[in-house]
Amino acid sequence: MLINRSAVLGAMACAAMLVSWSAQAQINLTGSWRSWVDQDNKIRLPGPDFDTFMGLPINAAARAAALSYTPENISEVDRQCAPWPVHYIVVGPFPLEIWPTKRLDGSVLAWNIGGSIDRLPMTIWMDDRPVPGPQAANSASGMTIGHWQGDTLVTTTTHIHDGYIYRNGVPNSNREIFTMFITRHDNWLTVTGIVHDPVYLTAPYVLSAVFSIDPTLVVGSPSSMDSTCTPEEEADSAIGNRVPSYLKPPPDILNYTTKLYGIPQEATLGGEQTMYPEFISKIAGQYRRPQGYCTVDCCGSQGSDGKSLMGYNLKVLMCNETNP
Amino acid sequence: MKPIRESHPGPWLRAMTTRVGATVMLWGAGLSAGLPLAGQAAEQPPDTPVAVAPSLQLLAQPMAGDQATWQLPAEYSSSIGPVSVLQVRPDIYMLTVAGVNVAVETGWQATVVIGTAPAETCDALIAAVKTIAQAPIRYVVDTNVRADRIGCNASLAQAGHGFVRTPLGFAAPVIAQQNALMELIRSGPQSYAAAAIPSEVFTLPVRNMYLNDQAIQIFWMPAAQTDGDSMTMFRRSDVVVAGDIMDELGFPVIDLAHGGSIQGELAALNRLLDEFAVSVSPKWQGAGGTLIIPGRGQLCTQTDVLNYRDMVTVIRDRVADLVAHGASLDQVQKSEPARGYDVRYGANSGKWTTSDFVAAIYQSLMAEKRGVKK
Repeated sequence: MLINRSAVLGAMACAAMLVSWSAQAQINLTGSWRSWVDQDNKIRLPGPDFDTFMGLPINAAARAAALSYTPENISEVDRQCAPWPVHYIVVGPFPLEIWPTKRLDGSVLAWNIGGSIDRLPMTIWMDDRPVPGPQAANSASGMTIGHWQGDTLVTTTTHIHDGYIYRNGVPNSNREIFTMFITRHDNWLTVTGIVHDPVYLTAPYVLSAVFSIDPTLVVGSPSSMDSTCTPEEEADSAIGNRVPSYLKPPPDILNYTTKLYGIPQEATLGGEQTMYPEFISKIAGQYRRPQGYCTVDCCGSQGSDGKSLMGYNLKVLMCNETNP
Repeated sequence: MKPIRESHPGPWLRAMTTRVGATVMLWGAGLSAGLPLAGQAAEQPPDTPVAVAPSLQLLAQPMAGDQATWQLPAEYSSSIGPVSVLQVRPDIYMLTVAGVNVAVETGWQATVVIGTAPAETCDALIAAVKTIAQAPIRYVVDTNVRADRIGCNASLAQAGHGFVRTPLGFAAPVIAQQNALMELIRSGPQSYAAAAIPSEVFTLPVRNMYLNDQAIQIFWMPAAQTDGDSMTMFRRSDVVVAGDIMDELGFPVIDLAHGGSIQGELAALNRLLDEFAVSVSPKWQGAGGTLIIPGRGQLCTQTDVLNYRDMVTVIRDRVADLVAHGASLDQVQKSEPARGYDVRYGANSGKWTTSDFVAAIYQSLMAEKRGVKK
């Protein structure tokens, strides 16, 4: 029986291509992704209040560290150009710029996520390279490896240096392991981050952020950190090797959130129990609904202009604040 | 020293929104070259023998991608027996054994070992040093004379080959600041072999050398952990060996009995930040800059030193405030001045506990208050 060798070879080539394509069936994440900060808006955009640790599974040490933190801390000359740690992707407000680093054969060696003006781009190595040893140095972006789990890119970051989870001084340690699940749904991107920190957290801290692709978005150069940063003397308290901190948290700001929103301090000071829905019923009796209209950050920092918060009925939310 | 107090949330809320002080502008130029990758060879004469164990071959592979200049090069450690070996720069290694870090700089002229290790680890340490060494051990440098830091002085010196013959033959000289030698004499030098005793002491603020085509400077850090501490700066490699003044795993040990003080410890950390450790400014921090080998723990960058200095300063400020208000040591301990940092750096048992650290700060500040001269 004569066999058409060309046909067989062609079929084999097609099969090989299909297998190859299937083995590398990766979602293309390339592009500029607009950040929708209506989720955790208060935390991600204006930043949490001094005493707001609700929903964070922090331990007593983390709480104590945060309560001694002042914003003048980041005015230290050596700290002004220090970027936020890698988990800022889901804690911060900025868009994402995602681009691949490719091998000569076109396959993806690494994914890179930039886009923030104050976070170093992260590189997600896709080549199963070994993780550096425990003695290796840390950095803000850490060392990240990734793999595809179905259509979701799963990343693991280690070697993150000591920093902050929240901008009000809730710390992370250099033992943190940060995991992300990055899933694309057409033009939407869901990024779920999990912070594991055996030093400051009693349970994994899970949070997510949603982004939409936007070709018109200008996020600067791909890395966004291809820029200069020149520190200046900003605050008297941070000059000359002085380190700003509260010896004791001042009472007026220790109760800030409680006074403003009527939320009991048991909740505002956070802890693992405040993550779970049943905690609401536990503190329900202590909650005092503020009288009258809310005045500060009731509906996110973009509040009352009615334009920035997509789809919300601002009258229902009683957003009549005037932002400073 | 001026404790910082705030009573109004105004500055806090203002600063929460945006950084306004730092001048940020786009820089059109390409990314900087970043750090040299692990494995890039130092300049050396072509006839210099280089012995690299098979287990270290991984170190010679440049693992970081070319584009990732905002990341530190991936630093892969290898093991030689119980000794973990991390190549910090082409010519500098951080060896970790029994929980302490030992720095080794090696080139065509000399191998210099900074800080040694507990006595029971000497054989393993020497084997590791010989594996990576490109030249004989010419010098051993003591960062202080605590027992776990000079345990291998004699073994390393005798395994080396100094430039000149001494009554001890060609044993490598042991360099230390003079006060370190005096502390050792006071503590009973008879328990150490002759080769373990520092044989080249310096009394000036700095001892300079020029070996392997680079300047090596050993700086005295007065009244820090002890009164005989030193830091070593490798100027071309841009690496500082901080000794136990920087302990990435714990609170610094303030040995009051041997001339240590909290103010001296902080002065040393501030000097490390102000004069030696430089970040990648004017780029955003995070990739590159000076590397610091701490007494224990991970290899550090300027950011790590900054965090450590801030931690020590904040705890000192808290204790100082209590001292200024006449608090007793018991009252100071009950106020938990190390709160927030105790889980990260403290210990409830062992040779140096959180309580020991707080007590040392208190006693150091009280001595200063009484005008006791260090």
